[in-house]
Amino acid sequence: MPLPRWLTVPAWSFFGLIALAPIFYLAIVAWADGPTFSAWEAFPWRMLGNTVLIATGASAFAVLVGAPCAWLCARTDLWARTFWRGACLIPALIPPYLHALTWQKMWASAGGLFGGAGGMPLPPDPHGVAGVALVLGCAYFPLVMLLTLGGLYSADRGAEEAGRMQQGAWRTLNWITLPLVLPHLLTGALLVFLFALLEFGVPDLLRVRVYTVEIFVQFSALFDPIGAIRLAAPLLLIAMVVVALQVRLMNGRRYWSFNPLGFGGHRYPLGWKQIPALAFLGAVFCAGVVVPVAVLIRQARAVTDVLPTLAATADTVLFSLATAAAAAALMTVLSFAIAHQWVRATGFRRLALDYLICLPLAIPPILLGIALIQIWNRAATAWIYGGSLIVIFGYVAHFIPITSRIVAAYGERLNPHLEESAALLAGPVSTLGRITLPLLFPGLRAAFVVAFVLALGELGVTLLVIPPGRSTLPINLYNYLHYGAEPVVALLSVLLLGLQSLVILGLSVASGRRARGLA
Amino acid sequence: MIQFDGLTKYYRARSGPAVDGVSGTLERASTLVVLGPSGGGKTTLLRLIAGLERPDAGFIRRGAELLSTPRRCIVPHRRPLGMIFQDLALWPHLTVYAHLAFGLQGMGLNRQALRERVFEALEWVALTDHAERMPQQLSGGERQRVALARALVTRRPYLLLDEPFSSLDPLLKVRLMELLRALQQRFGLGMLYVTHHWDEALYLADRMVLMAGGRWLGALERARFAALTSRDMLAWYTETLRAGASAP
Repeated sequence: MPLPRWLTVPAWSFFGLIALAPIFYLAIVAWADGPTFSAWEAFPWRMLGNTVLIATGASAFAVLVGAPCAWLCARTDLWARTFWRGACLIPALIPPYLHALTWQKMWASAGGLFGGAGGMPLPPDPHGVAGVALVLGCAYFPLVMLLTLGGLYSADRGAEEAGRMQQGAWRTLNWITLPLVLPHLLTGALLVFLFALLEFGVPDLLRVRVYTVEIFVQFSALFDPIGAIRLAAPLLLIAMVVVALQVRLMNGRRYWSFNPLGFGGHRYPLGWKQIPALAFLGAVFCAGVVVPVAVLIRQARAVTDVLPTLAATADTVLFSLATAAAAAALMTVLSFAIAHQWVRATGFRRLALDYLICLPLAIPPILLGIALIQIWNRAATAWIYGGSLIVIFGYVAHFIPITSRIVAAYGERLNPHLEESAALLAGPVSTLGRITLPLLFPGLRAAFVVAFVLALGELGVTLLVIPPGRSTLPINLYNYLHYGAEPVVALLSVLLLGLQSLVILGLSVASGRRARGLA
Repeated sequence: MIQFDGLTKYYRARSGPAVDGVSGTLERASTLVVLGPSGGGKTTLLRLIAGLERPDAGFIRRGAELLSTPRRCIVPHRRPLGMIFQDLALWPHLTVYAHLAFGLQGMGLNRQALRERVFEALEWVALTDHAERMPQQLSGGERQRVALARALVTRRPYLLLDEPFSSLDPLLKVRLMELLRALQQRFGLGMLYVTHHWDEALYLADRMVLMAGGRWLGALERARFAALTSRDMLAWYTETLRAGASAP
């Protein structure tokens, strides 16, 4: 049952204008005037190598941590597994640069917080390729966990039981469960690789030269936007190949599954292994959540004039909240129309739409910022470029692939016959308002929350497109960091995390009430 | 002989039992058909016997060996049972050959012996030409035969079937039931067949049990139901259900 054209045409037009136009602009500029580098000797191989190495390391670390977490929570009789499932996903809500900040702080005070072990600083030095990979792995492993959970929950229960009828737990896990979940696991790994490849905040903060940092320098220090885009061409190419790979790998599968309660399959008894399993999850939770938050709070306590500092950032906080909320609302609406069409598409069209929706993931935030400036910085569009709209556009272009996936995951659970039977009795508006939207409401709400949280912590795009005289909380944080005002940075970080937690908590309580009301 | 006694299973404490004190036996070379309306506990009974669920009360045993009690449950692959699932549960990433080889691994067979065993089973179901195909490349009937061969390849003496032919056209269904019957006679299989179709029950059963509300409400032996007309069967079915509903 297709959505009415008056909804889909504007939605796709907006998507094209905001999210796809920057990509086509970048592609045209990058390849318009022939090769970027006059000689292969001039090509920054070392920097590209560093960037790919960091991305590979982060991805491997995320798989090593995320996959066991998912398996323990989804397929074993682990004690308090619902708690651990939520707890281990929290690090995804903390912006990666805050992870970097705390790791940096911990390393600086090694001996203070943790002490040295045999002369080795603990945690390891984050100011290097391995350190950045570790920090990014810590920040992004929940992605692998989330996707693996989705794979485990949506894996055919019958297929596993048929395996268990013939072989033991270990063979069934290796031969049946793992191959069924492999596309999700590898997609998680590829997404972490992609995000780490395009990350700007963390390597910049930790002073490690990677491709995105160099692009930023080319743009902001040398004032050469075209040079920056050309420099980014190889990175763009790699990122687009990675996106294509993950789309092909998933091949129309559902990315996330939100109904773990529906899983009624076998859980492997852990027995005495409960203790090491709990210790492992506890360590993951501590490294990903407890330690970063504790370090920030500890440091923020050094601020003597807390209230005046917070009062001075009130405008910034309001602006951040307003732009994040507006962007989240726009993303939710667009995601609904786009995801609905994608879910109902079949064959090649489905694959093509999938790639098109995922494509914005391949653009480094810094490059997206440059493209948005180049496209919208014109007299006719000065009202967009000079105001909050450009920030909102940046958030939408950056995060819409994620929110579309969330809505699509819910849309795929929706039996198309429900809409079709309504369409036999009422018009498209009634069907949309009384059947489709109410049934998809949980997905839309989840998409809004995720979009809001991500937009509130966004740094890379905002850094470039923020209009004069305006600032967001992450930009304030970034500026204070460069002034060396570390306690204020910690205080603002705590404020940012507090705001994100409040929104999630508020909406969770509201959805819990609604669920109880429906029950 | 597999014997089960007082089998009870609750999924939620508040709702009633899915299976409520069911007792019976499954013998070699005979077919027990469990008939009944949807939601009556037939599949749960099958899953309890397969070891995919643990009973809350009662036991299952084979001779002197206890297979399931509320405290102890032998894992499914160590039981003398094969099973065919309602949706067949074929593995989308494995070839037909790999489907059959999976169950034979760890049995001490070398590669040649394993191959021979797999092709022998494929011969039983006339699928030797399809060994390298994926499940998606097979027709509905061929998939059913793969599921059947997978369940039989390990030569277990009992076979559980959960409405395996419910989605097939009548002609194909008859052919597969003939094949199933022939294989049962050849290997002396003890079969427990769950369905809500009379025609399947009448064709396959040596003994027929009506199950609803988690309980066995009545049973018919072949000698008796062979003489019944469709009208008589309907009368027995509705009467037994009514009597079961009014029983405490």
